[in-house]
Amino acid sequence: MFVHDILLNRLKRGCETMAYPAGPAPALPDRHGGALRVEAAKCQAGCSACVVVCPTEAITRPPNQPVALDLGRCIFCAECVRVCPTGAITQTGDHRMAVRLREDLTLGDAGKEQLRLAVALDEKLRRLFGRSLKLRQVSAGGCAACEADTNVLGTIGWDLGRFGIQFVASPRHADGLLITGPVSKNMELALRKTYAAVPEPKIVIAVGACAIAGGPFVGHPQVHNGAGALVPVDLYIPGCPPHPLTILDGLLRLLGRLEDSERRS
Amino acid sequence: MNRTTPFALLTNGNALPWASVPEWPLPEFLRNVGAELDRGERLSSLFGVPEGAALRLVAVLAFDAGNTLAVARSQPFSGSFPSLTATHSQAHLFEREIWEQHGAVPENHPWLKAVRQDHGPGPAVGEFFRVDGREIHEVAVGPVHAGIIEPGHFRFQCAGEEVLHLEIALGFQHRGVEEALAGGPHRATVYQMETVAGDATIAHASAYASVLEALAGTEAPLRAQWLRAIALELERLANHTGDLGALAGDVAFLPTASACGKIRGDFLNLTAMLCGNRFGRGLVRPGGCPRDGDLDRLGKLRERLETALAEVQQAAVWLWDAASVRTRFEHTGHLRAKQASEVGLVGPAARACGLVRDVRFDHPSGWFRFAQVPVSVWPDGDVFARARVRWLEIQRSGEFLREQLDAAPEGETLSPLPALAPNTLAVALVEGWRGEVCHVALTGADGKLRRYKITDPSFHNWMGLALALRGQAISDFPVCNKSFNLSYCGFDL
Amino acid sequence: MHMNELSATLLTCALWAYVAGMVGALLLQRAERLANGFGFGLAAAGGFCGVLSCAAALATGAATGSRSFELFSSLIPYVRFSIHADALGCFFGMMVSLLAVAISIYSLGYARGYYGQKNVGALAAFFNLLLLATTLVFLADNAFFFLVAWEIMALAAYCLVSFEHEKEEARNAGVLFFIMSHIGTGCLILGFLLLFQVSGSYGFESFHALGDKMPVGERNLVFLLFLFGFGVKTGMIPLHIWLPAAHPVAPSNVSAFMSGVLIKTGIYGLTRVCFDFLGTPPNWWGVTVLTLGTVSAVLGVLYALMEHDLKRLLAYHSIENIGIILMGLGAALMFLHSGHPALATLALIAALYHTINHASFKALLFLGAGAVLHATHTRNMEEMGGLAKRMRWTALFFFVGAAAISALPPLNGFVSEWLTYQALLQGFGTTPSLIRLMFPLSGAMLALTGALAAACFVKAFGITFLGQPRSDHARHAHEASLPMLLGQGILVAACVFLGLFPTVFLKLFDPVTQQLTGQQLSQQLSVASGLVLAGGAAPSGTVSTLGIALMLLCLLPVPLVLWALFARRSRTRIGPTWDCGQRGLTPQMQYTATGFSKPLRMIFKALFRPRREVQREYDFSPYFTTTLRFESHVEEMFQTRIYRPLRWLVLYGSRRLRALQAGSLQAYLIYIFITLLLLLMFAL
Repeated sequence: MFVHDILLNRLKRGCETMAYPAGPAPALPDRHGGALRVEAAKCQAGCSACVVVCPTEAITRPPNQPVALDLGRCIFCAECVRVCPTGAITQTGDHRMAVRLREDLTLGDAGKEQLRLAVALDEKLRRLFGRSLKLRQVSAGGCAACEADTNVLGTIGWDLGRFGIQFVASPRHADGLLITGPVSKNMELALRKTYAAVPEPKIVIAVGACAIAGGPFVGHPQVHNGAGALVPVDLYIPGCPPHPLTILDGLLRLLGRLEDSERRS
Repeated sequence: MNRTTPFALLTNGNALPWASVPEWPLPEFLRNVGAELDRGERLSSLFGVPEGAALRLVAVLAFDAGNTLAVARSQPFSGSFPSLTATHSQAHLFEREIWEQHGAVPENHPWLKAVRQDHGPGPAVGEFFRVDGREIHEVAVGPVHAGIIEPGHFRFQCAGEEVLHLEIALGFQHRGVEEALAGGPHRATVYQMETVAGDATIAHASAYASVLEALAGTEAPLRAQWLRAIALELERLANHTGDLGALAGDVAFLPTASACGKIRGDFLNLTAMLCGNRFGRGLVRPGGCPRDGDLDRLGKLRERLETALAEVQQAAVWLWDAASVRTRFEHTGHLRAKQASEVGLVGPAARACGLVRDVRFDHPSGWFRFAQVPVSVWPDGDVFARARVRWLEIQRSGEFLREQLDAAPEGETLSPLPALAPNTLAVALVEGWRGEVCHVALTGADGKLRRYKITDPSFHNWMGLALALRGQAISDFPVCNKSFNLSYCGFDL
Repeated sequence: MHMNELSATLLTCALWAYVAGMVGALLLQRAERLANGFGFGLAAAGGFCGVLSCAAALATGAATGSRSFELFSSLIPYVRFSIHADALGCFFGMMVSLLAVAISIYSLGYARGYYGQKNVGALAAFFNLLLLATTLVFLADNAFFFLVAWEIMALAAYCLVSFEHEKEEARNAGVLFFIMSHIGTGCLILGFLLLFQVSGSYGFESFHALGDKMPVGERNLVFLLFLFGFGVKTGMIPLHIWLPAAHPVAPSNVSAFMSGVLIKTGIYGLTRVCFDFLGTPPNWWGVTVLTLGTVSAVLGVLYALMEHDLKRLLAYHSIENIGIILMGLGAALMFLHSGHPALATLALIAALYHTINHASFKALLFLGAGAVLHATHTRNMEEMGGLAKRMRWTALFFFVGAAAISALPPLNGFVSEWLTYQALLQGFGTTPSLIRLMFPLSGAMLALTGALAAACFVKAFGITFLGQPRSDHARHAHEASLPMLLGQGILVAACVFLGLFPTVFLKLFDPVTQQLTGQQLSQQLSVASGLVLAGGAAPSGTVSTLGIALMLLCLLPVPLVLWALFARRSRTRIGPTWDCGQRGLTPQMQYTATGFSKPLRMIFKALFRPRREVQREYDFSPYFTTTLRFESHVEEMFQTRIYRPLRWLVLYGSRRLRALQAGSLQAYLIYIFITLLLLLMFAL
């Protein structure tokens, strides 16, 4: 009898939810690479090997300026890491990548070798959302990978529900939007209406390279190059797609549920 | 092939010079295509190639019985052309797309509406089909509909709870992929190919790589072909497991839903073991596979694969045992084999109606020329059949992976890609987990891409969902939609 | 004791007011406004006098022991034009007068819709005639006068039903009403004749307790004749087919009166016959009436659910409520037989209370439907919608009526159904035989009816008043005029009063029940100095609608207080309904009436035999349909299976009988000869 089977199975397996954040974070796949680190000081003069290989033109090196890598446009293909002769761009294996401000995603300047991670929401919003955050997910041209990795956060291994975070069907029930996709022009009306339908106060989270800056489709006339063009964004989570751990880290950081003294600068 | 046909024949993953593609005046072209479709062949792609101000139609047909593809083109024309849909339903969406992209009007098309509407006021406008009668009400769902899901618009005509007609309007995800390919391949092209349908990355990337390799006149190294097949089957395992879990979730059978949700992540992590990305980004490139796996890594992958397969086996058994699940699945969203074949369905949706069509079997390319996966077929055409086909494919892909992980060929995995031949047409078909992915590329005189056509399996199958809902209760829509699980962005490009 | 002089005077005034209204309206036909004001104004005045008279008579106990008096002398033997305002008559007289007031005031505004199109004077005149005739029916003292008034009532009603005679539907409905009414009247005549045979006189006084003196067979026959005759009038199933045809096509004020009062004349008749004339009943009478009542209630509401014509829906609900009244009457008869006069009184009170309740809320609903019809020019609910924003008061009044008919506390429908439940549930212990199972079964059916009625009114109110307008007329609807609102308001006040103060109103029943069953229950049923209603002698259920209302009133400020405390500073933003991000919602994207009732149509498939027609047209393949048409129908079982074959039989028989009219003189002479022979044989 399957009922009997299921009960036995459940008893045998026990709790399958990971301990994080009470315990250590699960390891990223070893070939993942994680966040990038840019040490402009190591750059050779006149070298722009990384600039020409980047598919989304995320790296710029104006003449006599240090190299700058916009992690919001980056799709983490790691071509730049491969071609850099001096190892100025390296992979850190760090899963933490969420930031609050768009400019915090630009790496390269002195003091900005690594990301300045997101701080929590202000006191008032933390009181409202800290223990119960309902999000409406809007896929505005997304390719289904960011959606899938957001969806997996609801499964029993990750269990987003234990933090009070839940995805709802109607924006009227939501506290904020989680946007994926480069915001195609065909979705502009729907996104605006969804945003308008969320009651105040509301937050917007942009997940994935597409939602931040257009991803691989940056510059196409059919897209708006990211959610920031239409709505104000409170949290940016880079990646293509961001690993579920990165998304979870970003959400918890936003709600002030993570103690991380190291990386605040 | 033991019969004659005026079409040019080529096998999957090969190219032929543009000049040797047979060219006929438009009426003869349409007649010949119609004749082949009457014989039971399938239309894989029908698209337009602009020739200055005029337009040329190109047809790629799949001769499943003869294990070969057939190509032909029409002479340039402008204005309008007699619609093939009037006699062969499977051309309907292709003709609407030709009208939208090039402006040529298919005469007597029974339902001429733009497909993605990127030159107009936006998608989901215009006339929707209405049922006459005071007692009918419409239910209009989307684009932002329930769940973490891509946008699409569904217009139901209902009499109470019963759906009399469903019309689906897509185009919300249109990002302009095909337009950006002109003059390519560019720096970003391969990354765009990977994200055409982001959960079918390996399928689209493999098709793209095969097309470019065919245009360059080479093949990827054997070990690379083997790696691609492994990744394709892992992608199939992950998505089918997720689908079974989602179907269980839709009928509120939580044991399988929660188990499969987790196991899907395990399969995705297996792909990540190979390339670092759970969806296989960076694994497939034209010329081969940039990253390889050593024995140690493959051994660990094999172990974790066994664990995951055992778990999914257990979770699925609960699903088939539960009578409440069977009541919801059986006789819901019913499609007959005749409908499936006339509309041109592909993939598990077609196999669940009893049609035997699978690209790995009919048009094997890459590693599938050496190792076969049996075709999974189930006759009933309802939600249960589609779930059952997925279950069979999970088991057979599992078997395939077990065998092939032990039979890895030696050698490198990446070889440099020579320049693309000019004025050449190449076709590649891959059996993605949703069905047949078809990429057709045409180079110009400069060796750059002149026209690139992507036909995702969803392009064939959305009509199947619309037909399956006729006569069903509207509350069964989520389960029917999940049983097809089509790609919105793969359709919208 | 004499009837209170004041009461008598007021009653006479009322009757003369009706006469004056009728004559005046006819004379003023050309001047529409004058005819309207004069005719309906006098009707309202007459009604007002009537209410005062009857209520005073009941309250002061003057009704008991009153004497009949002749209106005017007649020269025909056996025929006396006399009325007797006894308790039962006063009760029904009060009811008809109350409705007269409300509907007449309403008609002052409603008749304006007919200016320039139809003869408003005729409408007012016939209406006054109808009021007069109905009041006389309730007050008549002897069988002949009763039948004369009955006939005039039927004729006036026929004229009013066919008022819009240019429509074929109205003509057919009128004719059907006429035929059914006369079939019933025929049975009544026979019944009265049989009673006359035993008593020797036509006066109701002489019929009192006559049944005990009659032989059993004849008594049963009398009961059946009266049951059939009055049953046709009440619209009891299976004699109901005229009701859903006639009520929708009549002008709405007439429909309100017909549903409110006309069908109650049948109840009056049954009550008079069974409780006053026929003495202690055998058990099967009560069982029959109870069964017929239960069947009417359930089938009435089921057919109502399938309707999307607003007035037909209300007409079927009238059948349902008549069923509930009959359940009370049937239970009372069974209790009389088994020797429980207290319970019989309780059941009788429940039935009569429901009578006046139904009069108030059904008339209110019909008046509301009339206002809607006036504004949107359609009875079809599928073409309405969004009227609550445009017709606020009408919507509110209709809502009160809908809540009342669904038996929601603290309104009047709840009180009378509660009393009916009390009677049925207490009946279980009255007899040891298996018949007692009927009581809980009927109770269960009553519960089913209540639930289905609530569902039906959710549909009726929701589709008509809520959502977006489904047609241009609905989009441009305007609020009803002041007289129409006043008329509805009077009935709303009646519903509220009858609901909140049942114990006060029960006192008016004492003289009635004293006359019919010899018991007075108002003391027993009123507990805690009148604040709580009880269901009989202790221990029994109790309920206080006043208490419920007060509790609701006290709870009302709570959300306001909470808002003031916690949410005063939050901004309110008004936005459109969430539509999934598409361009906007259209009126087609809302539920239809048929869609709403579909699940019930499927459950009761065997009863409804629903039929659907789907026509699909396509040019090339069925996958790309060009046109799709959908229609669904529900079969009205009684029409097709009983009346149509019956009609065919009658016509067939008539055609065969025509052969007798051979046209030859010799044949006719032989007929006369045979008839004479037979008569001689019988006489000897």
